[in-house]
Amino acid sequence: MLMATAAIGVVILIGVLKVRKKHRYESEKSLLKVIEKDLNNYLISSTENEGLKWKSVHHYQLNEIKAKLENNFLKGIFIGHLISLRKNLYGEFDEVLEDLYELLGLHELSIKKANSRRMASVVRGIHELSQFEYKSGYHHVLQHLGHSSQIVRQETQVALLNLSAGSPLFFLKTSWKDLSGWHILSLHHTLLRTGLAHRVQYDYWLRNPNWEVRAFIIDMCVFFRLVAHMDNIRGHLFSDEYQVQAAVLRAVTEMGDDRDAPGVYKFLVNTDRQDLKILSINALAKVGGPDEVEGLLTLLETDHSDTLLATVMAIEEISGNAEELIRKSYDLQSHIHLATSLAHIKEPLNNS
Amino acid sequence: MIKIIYGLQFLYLVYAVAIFSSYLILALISYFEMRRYMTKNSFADYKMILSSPLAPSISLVAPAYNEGLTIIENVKSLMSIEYNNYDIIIVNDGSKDDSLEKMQQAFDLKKVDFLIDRTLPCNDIRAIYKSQNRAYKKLIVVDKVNGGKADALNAGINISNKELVACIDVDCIIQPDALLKMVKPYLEDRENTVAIGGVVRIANSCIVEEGRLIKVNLPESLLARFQVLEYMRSFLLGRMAWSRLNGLMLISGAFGLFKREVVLTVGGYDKSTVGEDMELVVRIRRKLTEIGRKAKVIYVPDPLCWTEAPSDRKILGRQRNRWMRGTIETLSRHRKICLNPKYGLLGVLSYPYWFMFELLAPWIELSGLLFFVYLTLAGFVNWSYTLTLLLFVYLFSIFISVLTLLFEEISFYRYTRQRDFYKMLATACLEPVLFHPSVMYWAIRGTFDKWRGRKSWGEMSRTGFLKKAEAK
Repeated sequence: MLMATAAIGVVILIGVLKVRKKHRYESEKSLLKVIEKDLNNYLISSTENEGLKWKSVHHYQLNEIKAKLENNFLKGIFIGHLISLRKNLYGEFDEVLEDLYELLGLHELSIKKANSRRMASVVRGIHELSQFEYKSGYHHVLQHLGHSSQIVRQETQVALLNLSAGSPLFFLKTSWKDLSGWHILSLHHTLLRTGLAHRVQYDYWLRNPNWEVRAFIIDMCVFFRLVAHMDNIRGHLFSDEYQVQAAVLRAVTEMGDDRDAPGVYKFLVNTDRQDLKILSINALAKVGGPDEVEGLLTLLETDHSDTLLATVMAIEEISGNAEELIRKSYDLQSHIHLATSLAHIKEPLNNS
Repeated sequence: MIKIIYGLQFLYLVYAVAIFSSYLILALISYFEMRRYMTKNSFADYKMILSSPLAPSISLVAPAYNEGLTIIENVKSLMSIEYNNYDIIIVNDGSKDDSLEKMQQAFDLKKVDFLIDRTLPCNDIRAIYKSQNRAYKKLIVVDKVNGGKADALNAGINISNKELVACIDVDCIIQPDALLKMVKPYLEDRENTVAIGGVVRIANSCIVEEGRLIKVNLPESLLARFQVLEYMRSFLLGRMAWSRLNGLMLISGAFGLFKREVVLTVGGYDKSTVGEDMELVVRIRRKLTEIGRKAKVIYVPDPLCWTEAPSDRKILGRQRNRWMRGTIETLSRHRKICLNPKYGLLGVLSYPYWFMFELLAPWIELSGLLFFVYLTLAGFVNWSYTLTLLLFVYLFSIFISVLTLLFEEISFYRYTRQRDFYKMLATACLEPVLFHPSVMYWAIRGTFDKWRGRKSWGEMSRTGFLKKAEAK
């Protein structure tokens, strides 16, 4: 009996969920149907000239939309619609949507969510405030910086960047442990979108005791091509953490010059990690000269095919005549892998 | 005698309680993990990965054997996957049909010299082809001597020079955003994540055009619907929980993403087993633990890959037979893990669970059935007690299936029609009676075949996906 009751209970629960989903879907459909025209008119009229006539039209349309958002449920649906609309609209419309969000008082609902006890609501609230760059919501977001959930903390950090009060990335002082690859990607994307990259104090962060922060900052310098910071970055090549070393090598590959070559070569011969070897070789391909070619030729005995291919490519990139140089030092008949590696230089089809 | 009978009855009861409790605990963990996943990813902008320099490079490795009928469509579908930094390696595993010729013609392939890393064992590679057409620059076709799926995958991994390899079945339909969704957990812990698996769903009766899933339909055939329910249960209830516990032992061979460096370190796919997908995951976890490295195997609950399930009992039987043999092979090869705390949760929980509730379950069920027959013949059966127990077991199976439907409803909700829900409810009620005994029989046959030394995969034929025009 217990099992039968439990199974029936779950079936009823599924039924309730289905009804709720259907209700939400229907509400969304009917709301958008009645509001779409007003919203479109509002968006178009907002880009027209700012005369008194347009202002009153604008005001009328705003009230029309406001009247249709009767309750928080409908407001929630409308916020979701505005967010998806914002992803597809750029320029002037972007700002109009931000204004509309505020004028309709939707930020109040988002703040309420951000202050909720439910984690899912908090994340949603922070996300909404962040999406519409509602700067007055900054303190409602900031309070979650030390939240016990990493999901909330990361959403908070991205939101704080979007709301851009104070120094960007200031949260790294305390929240450096949240710097996962995905989070770095989000921060990079937000810095790029908000144009705040130039306001980051890179030299300050490069002195941070946490290697996670240093590696992240070096990567940001690479992504934004901040060549001016290279002097500071190259000093980290012989740091203790391989993640920092890898970031420096990526920086040298993208922004380095011939001054980096001796250091990178020294690093290459001293490191045991295969991935760092390949990164060093790739860096040398960009900054190396004849001296480094001599050294690279000695690496061709390796059994590691990725290293071999990278070395051959590097020699070709530095000298432009890898085949000739390699033939002088090696018998290609007995080094079949070398021969096929050389084929990768000649065969443009292989360079996908 | 009575004491023996009571003793046996008690053992069966303990086993039943253990298996039911484990299902309930797994369901509970899955529920919380699902909620966490949904919250975490509700606002994730996967498209960011497309333009990010941080996106890891990926090789899609797809072995193809006699796939001439659909190979062009399948490869084109793989080319339209949303990801930037990836290439596609199709390994023609000595096909006897015109697969290679068709690809040569369709993609303007040219034989090229190619540096091949021979780290993983594989049969001779006859040639490597690349397209002369820039539109297909991501495509690499490897032509090799037939050696089976594991061998072909090893060849593909040798050819790849990317950070990750996605090992897929060429005839599966991969969702366009599948790689974006699979890569996210990897980016979240690049250091320790070694493998990521995605949900495989049944595509029978779904409408497919140009290798793309156009419309999701619940299969018309009852046999395929049983498998839909079974897959849902396995992926949504089981693997989600094991992923949370970091105790996953299996990533479906149809679609799995691996760190290439790790696959090379552990020696790639094992050609001598028919359960190469499970064996690789267990070996990765085992070897990395032995060398003191962390190994996180993650599972993404989004439906990312669609496959055609056997719609014929005979073929389904062969598939299940092979799965059972694969499980036995993997568990016996890695028996050192069993109850060994050195391997963490994998040793003390995952392995014993697989052994007790996957490997032994059919045998315990069979012995229980025989025991029941004996008791009936000997007149020892307390019918009211037995019928109550049978009803409990039956209702529990329905409860677990219905729970799966609830998870589906709160998560990815692909079968949207009202009648689909009723059909699934009916399937849940019929499955314990009409499908489960067959699964048990096939598993037992698989065990026998393993003892007899059978190694073959068994012929697997497919009917093909439904096209829009056919659906009308």
